[in-house]
Amino acid sequence: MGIDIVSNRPIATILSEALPNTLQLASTGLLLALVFGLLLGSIAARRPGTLLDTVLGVTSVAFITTPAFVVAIVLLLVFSVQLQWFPVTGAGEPGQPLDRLVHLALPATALAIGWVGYLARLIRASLLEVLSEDHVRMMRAYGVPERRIVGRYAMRLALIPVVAVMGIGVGDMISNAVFVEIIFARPGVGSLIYNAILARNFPVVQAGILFTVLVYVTANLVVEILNAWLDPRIARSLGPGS
Amino acid sequence: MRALLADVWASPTGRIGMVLTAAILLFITFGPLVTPNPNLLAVQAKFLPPSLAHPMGTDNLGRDLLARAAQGTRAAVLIAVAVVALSSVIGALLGVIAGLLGGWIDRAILIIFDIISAYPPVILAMGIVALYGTGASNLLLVVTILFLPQFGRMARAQTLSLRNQPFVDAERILGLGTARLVTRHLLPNVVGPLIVLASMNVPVVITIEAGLSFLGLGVQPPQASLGTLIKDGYIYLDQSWWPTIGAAAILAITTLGATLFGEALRDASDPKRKGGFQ
Repeated sequence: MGIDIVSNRPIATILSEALPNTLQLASTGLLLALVFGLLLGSIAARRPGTLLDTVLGVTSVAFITTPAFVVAIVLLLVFSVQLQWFPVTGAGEPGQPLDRLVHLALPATALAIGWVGYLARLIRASLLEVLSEDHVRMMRAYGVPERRIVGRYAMRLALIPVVAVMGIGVGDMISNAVFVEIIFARPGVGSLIYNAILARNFPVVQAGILFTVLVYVTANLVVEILNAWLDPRIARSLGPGS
Repeated sequence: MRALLADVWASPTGRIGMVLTAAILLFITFGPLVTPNPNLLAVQAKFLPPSLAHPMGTDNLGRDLLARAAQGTRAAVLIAVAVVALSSVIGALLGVIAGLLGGWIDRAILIIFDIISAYPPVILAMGIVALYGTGASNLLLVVTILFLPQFGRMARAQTLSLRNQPFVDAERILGLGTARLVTRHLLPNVVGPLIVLASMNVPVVITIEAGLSFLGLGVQPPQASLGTLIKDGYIYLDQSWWPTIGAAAILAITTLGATLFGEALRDASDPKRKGGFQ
């Protein structure tokens, strides 16, 4: 990919140093968003119309509308500067998993917040839809416990729309990783591109953007395939003779 | 229109959205008139905490933060409205043309949309700004491009479902040209859902604009925007956290209000979704 005009090192080397940091950050963020989004969404869907449901709904919207970089600054201010529970900057020493996890906690939370809200609402809506279907009523009539209905049967169906938006999720994680990496001074592809832009170091900008797009498009391809595998109707619509 | 707004007012979240949106609109209309000059320097009065003279305190150069917030919110909202207006109109035109004409034109327009959406949004914006330079007008252009595919795809889908309806055939037989068919009959049918999508995208654009300005790639100093205010505060975070938190709170209120309002508008305009708040 050529030589960096500032440091005189191969750009491929620079990128391969930065990429793992960003991938760790983005995947941890996505994982956090999935876990907490599913949790909050299924809690709300089990009690539609209650006060708890309304509170969770409004919280979700607030999570969605607060930009990741604002969340990142507030987390930094509260937990790193005031309380000093977490380190302020960097990605931790390489080869020390615990140190890296501690450095990952706040940035990954900042990335995840928006999607926690988004996924909670998505899961709530799709779970409610599935729970109102005939086969669920049938299971209830047979006396299958509600916990088992939701956990075993309904959740699997309700997850299909979640998988479908994961492609967009990856794009959002990569986009917001730029802000989070800058605010927490983490080395990564986002901060690499940003610093290269400020330094007018165009070969690095080009390579960085090319790489990010490659990751994004690949992630989307995987999501599409996963989606077709989960929902045979989609596979048929893509197959021959459609 | 009036019935629609009444429906929005009837839902609790829509009412919150309406109140917040109205408050922000009042703030950006009258705020700059009643506050002091947002660029007035008073270096000896820097980092003042909130007081009667400076309700939101002052920044690193002693500028009144309420005045800068009013100016910055106005810039953010104006840019967002301009972006959404531009990209919905251009997107709708491209989408209707693609859907109506089909063939290679359709494919070409779709490929353009696909290329735009192949980039993570902020990365594409950063790339274009890196090439063509920073500033409010470039920012406007970049974010407009970012949102074209959404509007275009929606207009195309609408057109495809309209194209085979009898009234289009009837107009063809009556000898209507394509241009007239598009402007007089197809676009009006596409407008409803587009307006809803546009209103839902206003807070998203505000967020992206604030993000790019925060990175220093959008609105340039001394002109204030919510993003540059947060950035200025962030640089001096160790000396004073008022500037950052104040601007961040206004940004959050603006996007929250606009989102709640947009969602209530969507629910009210779609009879199938009426009643539910999701």
